[in-house]
Amino acid sequence: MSTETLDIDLIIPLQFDIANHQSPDLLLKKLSEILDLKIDKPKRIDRVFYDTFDWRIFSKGQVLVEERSPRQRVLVLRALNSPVRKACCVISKAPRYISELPDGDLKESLNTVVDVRALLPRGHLSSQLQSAEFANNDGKILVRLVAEESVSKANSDNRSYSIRRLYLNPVKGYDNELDHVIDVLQKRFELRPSTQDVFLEVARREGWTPTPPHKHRFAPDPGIRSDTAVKTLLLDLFESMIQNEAGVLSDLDTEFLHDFRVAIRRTRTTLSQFKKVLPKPINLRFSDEFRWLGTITSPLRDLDVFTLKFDEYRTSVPTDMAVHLEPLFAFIKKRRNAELGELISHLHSRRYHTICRDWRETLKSTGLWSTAKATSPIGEFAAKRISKVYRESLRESQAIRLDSPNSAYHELRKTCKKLRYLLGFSRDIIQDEKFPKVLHTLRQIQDILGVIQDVSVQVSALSDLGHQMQKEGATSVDTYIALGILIEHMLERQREAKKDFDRHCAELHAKSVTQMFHDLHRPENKL
Amino acid sequence: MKILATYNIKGGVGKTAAAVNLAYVAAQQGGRILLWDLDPQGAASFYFRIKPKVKGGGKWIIRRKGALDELIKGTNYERLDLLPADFSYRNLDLFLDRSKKPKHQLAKVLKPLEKQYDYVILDCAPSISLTSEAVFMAANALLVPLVPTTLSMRTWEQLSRYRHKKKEKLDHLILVPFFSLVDLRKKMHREIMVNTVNELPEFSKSFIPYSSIVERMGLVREPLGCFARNSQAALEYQALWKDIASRLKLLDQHGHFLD
Repeated sequence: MSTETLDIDLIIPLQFDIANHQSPDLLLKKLSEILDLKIDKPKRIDRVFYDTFDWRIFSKGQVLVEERSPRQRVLVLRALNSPVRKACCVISKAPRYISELPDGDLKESLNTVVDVRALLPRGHLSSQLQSAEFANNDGKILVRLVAEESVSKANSDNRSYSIRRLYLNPVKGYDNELDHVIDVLQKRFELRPSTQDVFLEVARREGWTPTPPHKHRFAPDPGIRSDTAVKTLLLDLFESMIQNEAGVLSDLDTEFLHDFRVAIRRTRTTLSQFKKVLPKPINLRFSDEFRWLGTITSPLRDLDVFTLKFDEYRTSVPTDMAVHLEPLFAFIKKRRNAELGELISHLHSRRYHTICRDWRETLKSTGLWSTAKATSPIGEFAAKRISKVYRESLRESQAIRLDSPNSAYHELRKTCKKLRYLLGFSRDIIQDEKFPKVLHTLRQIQDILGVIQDVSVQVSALSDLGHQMQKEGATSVDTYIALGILIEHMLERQREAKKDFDRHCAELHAKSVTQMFHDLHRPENKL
Repeated sequence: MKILATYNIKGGVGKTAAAVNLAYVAAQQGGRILLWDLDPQGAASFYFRIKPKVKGGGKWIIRRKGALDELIKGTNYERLDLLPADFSYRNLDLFLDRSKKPKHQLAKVLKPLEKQYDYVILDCAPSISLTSEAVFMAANALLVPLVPTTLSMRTWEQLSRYRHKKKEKLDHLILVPFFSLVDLRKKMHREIMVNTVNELPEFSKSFIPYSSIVERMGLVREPLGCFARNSQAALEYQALWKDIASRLKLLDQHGHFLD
């Protein structure tokens, strides 16, 4: 479900808003004078709504809520605008990562959606829920009702809000009876169907806008000046970097640093690919500064990649050897904490704050740049860059043989990243029908090159870690053997990836693809 | 989706009580259950307080395959639905006989529900007829309640012989016989049970006692788990379900035994 469809005036037929002057329990009592209702005792529960930083659960049209009663804590996944549970599990503490949840339907449903992102509390409600059953003379339940009266926890302004709703839970096969109840609620009690899921109501009141953050979707009009387009693009990337900064500092999950680094890398690519658009002093200074940002964030990201692969590593060695990897994992976690501290101090440094301040001022200044290419239409300029980087990738990939050094693959990977990035933000203005397929092939090649490079980095880093562990007396012979098996397994994967590389590369070298990039260069086909 | 049927040629042996209580236990354990009350007497529908009436009757069901969903009623219990009985089911043999491949018709009408339910339990009327044969073809397992008496045991022999004779066609069908209405004060009950369980390992070790609490189900119109959850009979149904579920786990999605 796309977020666009949720913002319209949606009517949720089985949820009704109860006006502020009406008390939900009194409403049920009055309703029982008309319908034969059996009303249960009220229950008190606390509810906490969760989603990721980038609203991944909401984006899939789902709501994750913890229902906490004195007896137990249950984590429930339901569809937006529906009270029906899709999956649930009992938990003993507030959930942080999906990997910590007990195995079962809920974990399975959320695994691919949430992935490694942290679950962040998005709103708290203290609720009184009163259930009732509408039954016939035989005692057959025809419709279930739940009246809710919720009060939020005080927010940062020390203000709270309340939500009053009546939910209907239909019973299969009793549609006429359900319609009758709806009729009574609307005509006798003048209740109106809710227009928003309670989760959206909470999000709105808490000041959240549940839309995914920046995804670098900037696609410039090909006719605008290059300096204007480049400034907008760089500002877009800077916003993305800043959006992720707090998450890096508070170490909420590893994706914040990943996205922070993506923004940095793309900024560096933009600076190098469009250097003739930017004034030289600006380009020189910020190329240096963003290289520094890339350097200071690398060690932590490398260790994050390790921590994300612990489970994979465990299954890469014989079952009885897996336990001997644990000292290595503990060592990596310790190193990670140290590197995190190091990065945090860099992000609190005067140098970092100066970069941010000056970069923002530079990008927000309204003055136009008077460089050689500042006035060129961005489409024309980008087409030249794309064509050039494609030729570069072609040259580099054709020179690669199975026995080429890993550095050759790494260079090609960097070139492909540049190419894909350039193509990515030009996608709306390249009309060739082969274009989506080329992007797909490029993505596959990058994945393969990613495996080759990751293995190179990880094998080298694991060897270093092994030596450091030995120096600190933190290892045993068994750990060394397990490490050796793991490294051999990784190298085998790398060999397989190199074989795959040849096959996919042929697609990128196809005459039709070469022609497509060549045509970009021709004046009548300029972007 | 696994299809189970409570079946016995003989009446009054506890088929409906077993269907209702096993369906309830399975739903309580998280399964999505449909109970189809195939008996025109409509006792299972009565227990669940649902009118024994199906729009269009049995004829409509057999003719309009795939439209079963709109006839299903939710019970008072989560995850447990009922397809009610209808007096026209007494003519189900006739409706089936008029269709092509009559013995495959029940399997066909249930097929569209396979993503909706984990288990379908068919509560069959006592007889051996075309409907019974269609049940045998559709079901993965027959749950056969038997009173430990000589006559009742004869029906088991008849059913076993019938299955053996049709071995090729009914190879997929597991039989889960279990003792029902057991009165341990009776010597004959005790002797038949001991001898049978020793000689025939397919008999479940769980048995349902003769108990007034089971009869009370008709008064309170609820499964045992709702009003006498710690009674011996309720506990035996739980144990019986555990036994059935473990036997069914040995089947793959097509109902064939896994190696």
